[in-house]
Amino acid sequence: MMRDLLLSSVWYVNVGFLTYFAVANLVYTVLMVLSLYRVALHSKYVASRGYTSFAQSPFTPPIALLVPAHNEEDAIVQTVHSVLDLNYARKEVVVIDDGSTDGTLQRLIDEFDLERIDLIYRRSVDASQPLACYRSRTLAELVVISIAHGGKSAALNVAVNVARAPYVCTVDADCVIERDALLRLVAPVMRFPQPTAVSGGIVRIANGCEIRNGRIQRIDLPKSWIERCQIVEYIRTFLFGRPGWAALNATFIASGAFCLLNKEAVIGAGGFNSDCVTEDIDILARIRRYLIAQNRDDRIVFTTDPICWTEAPRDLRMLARQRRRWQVGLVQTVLRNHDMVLNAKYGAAGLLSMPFHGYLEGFGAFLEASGTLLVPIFYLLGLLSFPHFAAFIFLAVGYGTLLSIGSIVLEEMTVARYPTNRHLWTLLMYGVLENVGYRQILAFFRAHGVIKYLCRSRKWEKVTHSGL
Amino acid sequence: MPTLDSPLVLAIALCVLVAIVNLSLTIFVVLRRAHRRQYFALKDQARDQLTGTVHEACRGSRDALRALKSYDDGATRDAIEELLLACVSANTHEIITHLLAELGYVARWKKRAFPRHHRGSVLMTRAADCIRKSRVFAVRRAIAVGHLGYLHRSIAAPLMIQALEDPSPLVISVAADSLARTGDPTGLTPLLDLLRRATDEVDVAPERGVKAALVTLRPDAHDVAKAYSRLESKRFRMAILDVLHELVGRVNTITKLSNTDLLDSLQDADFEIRARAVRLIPVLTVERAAVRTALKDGSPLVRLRAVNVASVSGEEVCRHVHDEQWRVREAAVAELLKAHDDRRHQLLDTLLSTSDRYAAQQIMQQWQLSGELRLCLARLDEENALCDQLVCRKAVELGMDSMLIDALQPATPEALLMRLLEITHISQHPERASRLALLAQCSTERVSAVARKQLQQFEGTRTEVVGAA
Repeated sequence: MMRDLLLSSVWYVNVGFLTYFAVANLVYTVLMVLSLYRVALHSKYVASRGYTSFAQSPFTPPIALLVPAHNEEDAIVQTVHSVLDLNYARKEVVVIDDGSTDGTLQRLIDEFDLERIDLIYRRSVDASQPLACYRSRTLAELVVISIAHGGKSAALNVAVNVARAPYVCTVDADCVIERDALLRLVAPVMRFPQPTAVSGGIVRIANGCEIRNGRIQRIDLPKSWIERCQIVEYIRTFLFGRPGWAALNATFIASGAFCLLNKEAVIGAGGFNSDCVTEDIDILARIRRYLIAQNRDDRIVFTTDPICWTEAPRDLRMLARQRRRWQVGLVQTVLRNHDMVLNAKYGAAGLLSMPFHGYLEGFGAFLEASGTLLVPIFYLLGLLSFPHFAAFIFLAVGYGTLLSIGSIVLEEMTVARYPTNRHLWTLLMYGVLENVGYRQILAFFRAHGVIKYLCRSRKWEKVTHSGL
Repeated sequence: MPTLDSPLVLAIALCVLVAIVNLSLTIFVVLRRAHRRQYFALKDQARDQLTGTVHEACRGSRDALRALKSYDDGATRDAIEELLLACVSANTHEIITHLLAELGYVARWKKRAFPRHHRGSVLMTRAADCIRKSRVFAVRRAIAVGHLGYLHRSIAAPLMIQALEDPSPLVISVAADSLARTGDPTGLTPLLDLLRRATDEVDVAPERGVKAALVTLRPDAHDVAKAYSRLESKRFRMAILDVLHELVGRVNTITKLSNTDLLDSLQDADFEIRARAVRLIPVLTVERAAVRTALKDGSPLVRLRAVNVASVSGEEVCRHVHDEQWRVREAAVAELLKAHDDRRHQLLDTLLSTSDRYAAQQIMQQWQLSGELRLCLARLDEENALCDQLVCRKAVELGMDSMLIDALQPATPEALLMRLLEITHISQHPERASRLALLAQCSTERVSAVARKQLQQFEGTRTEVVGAA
C-alpha cells in the first residue's frame, strides 16, 4: 500500500517535471522558429543597406552614453576609449565613478586629461548629489562624475540627470562596443514609424579575444570549458530568445550592458530602481507600465546586430554569484509587477513574456534543479521506469542540444563573428556539451537564487573581473 | 498505477530524432560555411579578373558587354554587379544603367521589388496586403528597391515613386531615401505627399526618414515652403519647418522665404510650431521685431530657440541670461560665449555684477566648460590679472571653486599658490581642509605658513558651526 502510494507520487512528480520541460522546450522552439527567418532577413537587409544614411542624417538623435563604474580600474580605460571611438556624430559620454576604492577615477583622470569643474546639477530623477565633476581638456564630449557608492542604479540615475541628449545608452564598464553598434542600435528609432522607447542589442563574450585601444583586434575562443559554455549560452539567449520575444512585441529583458533608452521614458518611469538587483529588467517593466498608462504606442525593440563584448565570469564561484543575482532580479521584477502578469492591457508582454520569464524561467529554476537531482535518484531506486527516465533525459538534455546547435547555425547565418573552422567545430561541440553538466549546474545556481530571494537575501553579489 | 511500456520506443525514437536533427544542422552549417568560402573566393577572383572588362564596358565596348553576358554563375554575376555599382559616377551613370539593364539585373530587381498582384476577393486582397506589409516579407522588396535606386535618375525616379505606394514602411523608407539620392526634382511632390501621410496616418513610414530624404534631395527651400499651410496638420507643419531649418542651414545663399502662412507660424497658437518657426527667422521676410517678440514668448522652448537665432539677428541675448528657465539661461550664455569679444565682455560684466545667483552660476558653468576659468587660473599670478582674480573670487563666492581648490597643491608655482590661497580663503569647499593640510607641510615657508593659518581658521569656523548646530 505504502509502496503504491510512493510510486504513484513519484509518477506524478515526474510528470510535473516532464510538463515543465515540455512547455519550456515548446516555447523555445516557437521562439527559435520566429527568430530564425526574421534574424536571417534582417542580416541580409543590413548587409545590403548599411547605416551610412543614419550616420549622415541630420535627424539622427543625439545620444548620451552612460558608463557606471565601480572598481573597474582594469577595464574602464578600454571601455571609455571604445565608447569615444564609436561611429556616431552626436554623442556625449557620461562616466560615473560609483565610489570606487581602487584607481578607477585616477586612471580616467590620467588617461583623458580630466580637470575638475562644477556642474549645475538638476534632478530629473531621484539621485544623490555628485561629489565631483570632471571634464576632459581634450575631448569635449566626455564628462566624468564621482559619487559616493550607491550601486549601479544610483549611478545611472545621476548620469541620467547629467545627460543632455534625448536618448541614453547604458554601457557596462567592462564592455567593448563595436564601432558601428550605436548606429545599429539607433536604427529602429530611424526606421520605424512609431517612436522607440527602448532598443536592446546583443552581448557577446570577449574572453579569449584580443583587445587593443578599446577595439576587438582578433576574435578567438577562450580556453576553459566554463567560458566556452557561456559563449554558446549567450548565442542561444541573444540570437533566438530575445529576437523571438521581440517578434511578438513582448521584450521583457534588454541587457543593461548595452541598451538604448528614451530619456523621457526613463524619467517618466521614475528612473532606475536602487532596490532592484537587476535594474535593466526592472526599468523595462516600469517603462512598459508608464507607456501603457500614458496610452502611448512607443516600441520596445531588440536588434541582433549591435554587438557589445563583455567579460564573462571565468570560474564557477563568480558564475554562481552572477546567476544568483540575475535570478533574484528576475523574480523580484516579476513579483513587483505581478499586476502586469496575465494582464491583457500589457499585450503579449503581460500575457506571454512575463509569465514565462517569471514563473517558467524564474521559479521554474527550482523545478529544473529538483528534477535534475530527483529523477536520476528515483530511477536508481527503482521508483521510476526507464521510459519515464528516458523521456526526462530527452526533454532536459536532448532537446536542449537541438536548441543550442540551432542557435549556432543562426549565428553562422547572421553575424558569423567566429572566423575559423576550428571555432565552428568547437562551438558545435560545446552546443552538445553545455547541455550535459553546465546547464544543470546553472539550474542549481538559479534555484539557489530563488531560495535567496524567498529568504529575503537580495543583496547585489559582486562579480569580480580580471580585465579584458 | 499507470504504466508506460511503449514510451520506451518513443523515448528512443525521440533521442534518435534529436541526434539526426543535430547532425543535419551540423552538416548544414559546415557545408554552408564551405560554400560561402568558395563563393567569396570565386567572387574575389572574378572581381580581380573582370575589373578591366567592366571598365571597358563602361566606356561602351560591345565586346566587353558580350563577355560580361557570358558569365552565368552567381558569384561572378554578383561581382559584376558590385563592380558596376562601384563605377557609378555622374559621367558613367547612364551607361551603367544601360549595362545593368542589358545584363538582366534591372529586370531581376524589378521583379523582386514589384511582385505581381493577384486580384481576388476582398478578404484575399487584404490578407495579401497584410503579408506584404509585414517586415519579414518586405525585406527582399526593400533590398531590390534599394538596388533600383542606383540606376540613372531618369529610370530610378519613376520606379522609386512607384515604390512609395508599397504597403510596407520598410520599403517606403528605402524608396524615399533612394529617390532623394537620385536628386531628381520630380521627387519633391511625392516626398511631400509621403511626409503628409507619415505625419497624418499611423504606420506609413518613419517620419525622421522622410524628413532626412527631403533634406538629402536638396530642393529649393521656396518649393518646400509652399507646402506649408495652416490647413495642414500640426505634425506635418512641424515636419516642414524642421526640413526647412535643415535646408536653409545647408545652403549658404538663400533668398528670403515669404509664404504668408509660414510668416504667420510665428504667431501660431501652438508653442511647438512657434518654436520651430523661430529657427527660420533669419530667412523669413520679417523684421527684427519678430525676434524681440519671440524672446518675450511665454514658452521657454520658443525663447530658447529665439536666443539661438538672436545672435544672428544681433538681439540683446544678455537679458536672457536672467531668464526664469535654466535651458534659456544656458542657451543665452552659450550663444554669448560663441560670439565675438564685445559680447563676451558683456557676459563677463554680467557675471561679476549680477545679484542673480542662478544667472551667475550658469555663466560660471559655461565659463568652466569652455576652459575660460582654467585660463583665468593660469593667469592669476600675472601683473594685470585683476579681471581674472575677480572671476576666481566669484567662483569661490558661488561655491563653484573645485578647479581652484584642485590647484592647491605643492606642484603649483609659489606665486600662483599664494594668490590662490588668498582668493580661496573664504571657500567652504569640502576638500579645502585636506588641501591646506597638504600645503601646510609644503617645503616653501611662505605657502606653508599661510596654509597653516588658514587651516586653523577653517578648523575654528567648523568648530563654531558644529557648536552652533
